Amino acid sequence: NSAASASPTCRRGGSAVTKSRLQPHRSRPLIFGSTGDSSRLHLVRLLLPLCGWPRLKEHCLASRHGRVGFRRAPSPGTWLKFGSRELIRVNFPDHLVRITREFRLKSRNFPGSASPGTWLKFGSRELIRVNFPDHLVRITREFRLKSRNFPGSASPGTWLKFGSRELIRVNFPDHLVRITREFRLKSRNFPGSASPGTWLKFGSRELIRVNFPDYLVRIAREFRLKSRNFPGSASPGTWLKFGSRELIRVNFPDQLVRITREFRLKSRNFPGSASPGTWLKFGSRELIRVNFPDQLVRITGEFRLNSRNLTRNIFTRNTTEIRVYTQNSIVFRVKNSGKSDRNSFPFPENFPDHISGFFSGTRGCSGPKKLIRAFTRKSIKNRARITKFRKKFRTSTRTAPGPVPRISDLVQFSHAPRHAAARCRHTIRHRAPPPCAAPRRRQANPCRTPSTKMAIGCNRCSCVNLSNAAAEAVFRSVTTELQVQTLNQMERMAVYQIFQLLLQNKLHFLKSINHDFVFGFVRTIDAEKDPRNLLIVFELFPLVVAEFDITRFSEDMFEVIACYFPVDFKPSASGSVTRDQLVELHSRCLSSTPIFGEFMVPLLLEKLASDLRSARLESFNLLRRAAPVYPAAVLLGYGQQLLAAFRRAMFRSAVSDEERRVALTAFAEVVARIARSDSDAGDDAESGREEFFRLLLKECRPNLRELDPNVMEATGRALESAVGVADATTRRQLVTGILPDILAGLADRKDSASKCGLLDILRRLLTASLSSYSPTSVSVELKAYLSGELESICAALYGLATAAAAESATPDSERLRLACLATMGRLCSEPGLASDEQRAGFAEHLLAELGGGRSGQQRQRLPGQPIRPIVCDYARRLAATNADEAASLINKGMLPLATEHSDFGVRADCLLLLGELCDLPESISEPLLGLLMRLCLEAGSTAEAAPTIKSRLDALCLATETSMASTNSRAREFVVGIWTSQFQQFLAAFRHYEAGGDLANAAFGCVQAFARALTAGDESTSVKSAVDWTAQQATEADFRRLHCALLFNLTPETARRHSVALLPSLASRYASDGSEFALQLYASLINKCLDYGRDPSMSPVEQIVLSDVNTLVANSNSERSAAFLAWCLKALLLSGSPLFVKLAGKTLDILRQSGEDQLAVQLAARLELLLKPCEIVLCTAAKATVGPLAGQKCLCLLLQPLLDDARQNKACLLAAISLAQTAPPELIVDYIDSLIPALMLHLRPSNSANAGLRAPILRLLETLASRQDALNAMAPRCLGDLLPRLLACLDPGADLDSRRTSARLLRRLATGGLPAAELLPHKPDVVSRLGAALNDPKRLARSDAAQARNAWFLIG
Amino acid sequence: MDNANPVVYARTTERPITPGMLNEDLADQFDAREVFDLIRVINDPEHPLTLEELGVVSEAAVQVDDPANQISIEFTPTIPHCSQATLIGLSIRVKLIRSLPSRFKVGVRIAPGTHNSEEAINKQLADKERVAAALENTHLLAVVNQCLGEMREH
Repeated sequence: NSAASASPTCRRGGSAVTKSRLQPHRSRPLIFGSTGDSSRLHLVRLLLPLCGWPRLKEHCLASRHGRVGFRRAPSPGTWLKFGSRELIRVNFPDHLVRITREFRLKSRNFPGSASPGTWLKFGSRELIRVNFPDHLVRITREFRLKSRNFPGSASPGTWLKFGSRELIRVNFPDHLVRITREFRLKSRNFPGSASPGTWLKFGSRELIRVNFPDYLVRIAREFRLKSRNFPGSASPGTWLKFGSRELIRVNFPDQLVRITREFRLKSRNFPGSASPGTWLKFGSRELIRVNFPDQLVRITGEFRLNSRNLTRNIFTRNTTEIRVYTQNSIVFRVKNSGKSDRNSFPFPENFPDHISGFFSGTRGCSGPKKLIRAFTRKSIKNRARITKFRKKFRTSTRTAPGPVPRISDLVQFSHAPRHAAARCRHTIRHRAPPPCAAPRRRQANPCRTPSTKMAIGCNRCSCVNLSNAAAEAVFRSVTTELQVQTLNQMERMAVYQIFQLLLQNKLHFLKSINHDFVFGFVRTIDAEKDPRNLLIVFELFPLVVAEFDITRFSEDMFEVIACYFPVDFKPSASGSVTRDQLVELHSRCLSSTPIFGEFMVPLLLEKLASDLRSARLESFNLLRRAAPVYPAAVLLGYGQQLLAAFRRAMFRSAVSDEERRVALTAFAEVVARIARSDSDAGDDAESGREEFFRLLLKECRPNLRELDPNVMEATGRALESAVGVADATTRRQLVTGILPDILAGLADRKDSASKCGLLDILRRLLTASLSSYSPTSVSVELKAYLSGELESICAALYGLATAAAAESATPDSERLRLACLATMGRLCSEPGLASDEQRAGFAEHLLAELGGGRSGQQRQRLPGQPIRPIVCDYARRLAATNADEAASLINKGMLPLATEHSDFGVRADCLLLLGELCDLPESISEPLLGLLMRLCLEAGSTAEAAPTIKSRLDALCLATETSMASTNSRAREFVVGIWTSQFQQFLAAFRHYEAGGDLANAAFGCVQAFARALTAGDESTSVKSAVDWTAQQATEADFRRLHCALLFNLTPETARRHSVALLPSLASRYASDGSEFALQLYASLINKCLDYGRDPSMSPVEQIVLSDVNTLVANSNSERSAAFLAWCLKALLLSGSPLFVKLAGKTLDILRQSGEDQLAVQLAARLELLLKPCEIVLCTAAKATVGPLAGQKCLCLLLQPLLDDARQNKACLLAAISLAQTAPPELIVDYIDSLIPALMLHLRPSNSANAGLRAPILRLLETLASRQDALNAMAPRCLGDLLPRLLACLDPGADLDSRRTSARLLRRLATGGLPAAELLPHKPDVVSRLGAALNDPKRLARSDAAQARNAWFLIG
Repeated sequence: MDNANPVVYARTTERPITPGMLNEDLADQFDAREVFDLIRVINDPEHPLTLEELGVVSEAAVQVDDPANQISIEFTPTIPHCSQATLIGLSIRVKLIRSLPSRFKVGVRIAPGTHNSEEAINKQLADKERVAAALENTHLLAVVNQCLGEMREH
């Protein structure tokens, strides 16, 4: 029935299962996707309806390796693998050395605010602590070296300073380690009566007294954790005894206790052949060697069981007696004499026969005498028999029916030395199926129970098909049977993935067990440390918060997630998790619900008061993110503290810009949240809000007297954000509260910089208060207030501006003047604020300033006219609200200035200003553009003064571009229309100006702008006439560039239409005067035309190109022919045209047939153009077609044939080198195999005929070697051949370039990361030959040789 | 670390390449700048800085007599009790052994009055056999090679 109700997939799967079980030898059906674990898990899923989850047998899930679904991930603990000696030796020291080196490098610039934990973190493993002492031991050694010169007056603390205060604290344990060592030395003669404190005196007594016990306490705590299995009679205090060696053993290897655990895990599979010595090699540190045996004393009996030496030691000692007894009564005793009386020890009634048989001689053993003799003999020969005995003993125990006395209770060997007897007892206890704690714990490990295994395994399969009961079983088993914190990383990840799947697929069901789920979730994710797992946890967390009712567990939920704040994580080099990821996800968790607000805000306040800059930054970022979510009441409750934190970050000079910026953004969010708090929340909220803004005003007011411009800017921004979001009443309070202070400050303050700061605040304040204007009564009131104040504000600003203008021109006074004007502009352009008279007055003032005014002299002294942006801004604002007034300002104010003003500079500025204003509404901009065009044409035809013409052309250019930049399509059409209609007159007016001169360049700029305008928008009919016209004009040298400007901007469609007419003229021009310019145009045109994929009817153009190539190659000189061919090849290659194949064939023919003549050599050199990136003509910016796979095609069609012929033909080799030199590194690697032999062949030093090839070959080799993948591919093939050739090139007979390139290549080979084993055989020869090159007559060659030689010395 | 916060000096700019240096017909004599360029890039054993940046070596303290095959170098430890002075001297000597033609006789000494154990170190550096013996020591050679290797990342 269950099978019938399963989904179709399940049914198919179910039948497949049956089939595969019936026919086990057939291959598994494909429905399972893959073989192995995943298929088993699928099986489980499919069997689910039949079996039910909890009762499913374990074997259904057991994988081939006896594991469930996944393998143990390689962890940093890999280096702790015991049982493989190499691993220990290699990895462990390397790991430590790495950290030490990092530490040493960084510690010099160690920032005071960082904690040592930051540097010493290695992932998130506990192993950090292991490394730490080792590192400190290193420091100790240095310290000890230095301490010889230790001045008596200095305290130890002085010497232990190591970059920062925190490090001193770090060093203390290290210091104590040293003391410990000394202590150990001295403790041999330690008198029992002395107290430990006596021995620990070192320099400053107080210091050590404080720290040393702390250290011991730490160890004790660690130890206590491990000592759970320790006999109850001994307390940790026993281990910490002073005055005996036991103490030291315990204290030291805090680290070794840890290793022990690892060791225990591994030692189960400990190979019997390894000797204890192997185990004891643990790096080469004396410390470890000393400690390890000590540790082994405590470690395990397992080790002794496996250790031959120890076994021998046990069994070759004199055994004095053997006792066999049950619980308490001795049933059998044998003395060392070898004589025994078995009858005097009758077995008890319940004593099983199969055991007593060993002693009575009835069960295949010859009797107790023999057996006992075997035990008591000293000879090693009997060991085999002992082993046999033990095996039998074990077997019989295992197979015995009924209650069997435990072996440990039965047999005890008593040896002469008592401790040996204890050891032996220990041994046997472990050998038999023991009641010892560790195995029992293993058995009881919930991970091994079937349902949990299945639950963990379920992470591989989707939970979609799970029934609700099964999902609940999974959930219960994970949350109740598992103690997730005890699992390893992969297993924990599996658990989280189960949660993920459950949340994805069974959300509805989980909501029905809301509280149980939340509780289980919190319990599961608690104390997670691994960043990979945390990524999943942090993703799940907001989901749980959003979907479930967490009210009951809100504090638990918060605590479990807030403990990571601020995220302190340094990613390892190979780690895939970055800190930013964690921070992002974690802040999403913390800001996921308003409930966290009441817990989080105090924590944030604490972190905001921290000394750590990173903590403060992260807190501000979190606040920025969480403020919109958290309740306003919570924020208001901590308003005072929050303001204090913001004040520290925003209004202090000594704060970094980044922190201030982050604080300001956070502040804006907080203020916005507070301002948004519901007005119906009650009077408390209302009064709290008022109190908050009152405090803010109180905080800001003193800053008006501040000198630091950053603080003033921050104040302005803070007020801006507060005023911008506050309600009307608060806004009015803020503005009216601070405005008088600002005006007073403007009057009082003397320096221009402060006034500028105040003006900035004023501007921000007014902008914010006016921009969010709403017609409420309070806002109207505020506006009325501002209108009333406007007179005084304007008076103050005019006064300031006039005073600043009257002062000597300094950057500060200019800034102040402009700030005044900008503020006034903002106020006057605000609708309904300023009166008409005020606006007219300001416009007059502005025009006077623009026209030079009384500060005409200053303009010349201070270059640049920054007043233009202010006028522009004012005109734009005015146009937005009052177009007529703006038009009148432009027409009546600016136009006369632009055309009639006596000063040329003013005219030029105004013209540019008009050009800039061409993006205003069309009623203003169109007449402006027409006017500028008319002015230009007039100036060009009437031959005015050159500067005037140039200024008009510049303005026209600017106007064209501004109009085109506007989003209005009608404006673009207007521009194109006016230009097309006036273009001929324009060219006629400017034709006769000298090419290359300023005016011609300015005119060219205009035409370029026009060209861009033509091609920017839709293709219009005017393009054709413009192109036709320029094609006719292209014969004139002066306007070649105009032609170019048009052509470069042509779209392929337009180019295709005119190509037949244009191509021959360009080709003939190139043939006649060799203009590279015409050639590039030609290439650009055919690239755009021959896009065969889009237009198949390209044969006329193809024929034209082919005939042009043939004509040029036949008639022109070799240089022009080579260049023409190369450009055509490149254009066709990029466009993907099939014509490229034909031309490539022609190129190869030329290279093969011409041999060493001029055309072949030129062509070979020009071929480097093909794969070189082109930034002007054949690029996407110039609308060229750049197809895919161009590089591959080129190398395949050209490089390979060239390499085939390179052995015989020098031109082919040169061409191949040109191509390879510019080929992308990832492509050239495939050709290394054929390229290198050809190069080696021609690099022979004896072959003087190849002297001309040496330089290009070496250059190519250097290029290849500079790319790591190419070097790796190249070096193994040619190192043996290459090195002698390079060394030969170092001879003074070679040219300087070759000598230098050879030396550089040699250096690159040494430093390129090649295996030392490959280089070392050549090292003596290379070093010796480079030694000769050190005496080169040229310094550059010597220098390169010296660098190479030093690099080679460092190999190995 | 002897000197946790040493004074850091600016690096000298690269030597400009003159047309004469590219002319194959002219021979370039060894001069102080060339030798200085060799040793200024040596790494300090303790700090991630070069000897030039620490002011240990300077061009003025290098004297070259090319015709007489004599080179003399004086270096200045950052502090008078610098324990690394011997190692620095050894590094300079090894670098020059590897980078200069064997015809030169190189003298490496501590600038007078700049170190407490000046005489002992000078004697040690001048003793060829002790230098050779030091280079036989693999550990010491590794330390020297670290000084002569590529500049470490800051």
